[in-house]
Amino acid sequence: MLKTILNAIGGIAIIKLIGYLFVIKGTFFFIITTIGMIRFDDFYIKLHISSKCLTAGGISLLIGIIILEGLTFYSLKLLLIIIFLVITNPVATHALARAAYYHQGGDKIDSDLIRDDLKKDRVGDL
Amino acid sequence: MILTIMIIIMITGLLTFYRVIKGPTVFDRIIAADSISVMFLLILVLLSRYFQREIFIDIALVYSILLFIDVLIMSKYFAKNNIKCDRRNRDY
Repeated sequence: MLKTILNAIGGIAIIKLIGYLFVIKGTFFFIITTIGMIRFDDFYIKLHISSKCLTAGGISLLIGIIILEGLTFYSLKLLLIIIFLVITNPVATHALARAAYYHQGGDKIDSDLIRDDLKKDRVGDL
Repeated sequence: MILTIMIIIMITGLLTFYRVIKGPTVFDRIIAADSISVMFLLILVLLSRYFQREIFIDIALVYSILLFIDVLIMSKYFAKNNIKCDRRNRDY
């Protein structure tokens, strides 16, 4: 059944092309991450870029390699890396934002925040 | 093809190193180091496909766990106040 579908759309080469397209899309996201990290001066914007663009580029590149490889145990380990990247990258971003907000020493970040939800709550202690 | 992609990602990783040197506060440096580490993790995955060895994927899995714990520990340490050491009150 799968072979008839593959012979209809032109063989295995279409799937390899889709895989390489995902890999190129992943590196494109990495280039955008680097441009954003160099150009911006504020800290919270850099946090935003590192959290969104980096995770998206990593997921896209890993999905591309999964499509190129096929269904083996190798793809299962790559899927595990994808799941781990999705779960832990936002948690690290959140912890770093809290640490930068509560820090009072010499490296205090004074950026003009338009909306500041943590000013009256002060939930917990770091 | 894979070799070209690896070289492009390595160049972007080395360009992010500029923010590690320049960044005015310490938190900028932590963010830039985290970005470089994720990029090199993906270079490790691509190397595993280039050399046709399956052992590098296990190293990448462990390295991603270590990366996450490192950023958490650094953020918890650097959130406390700096202790200024006063050089004038020493008597030697």
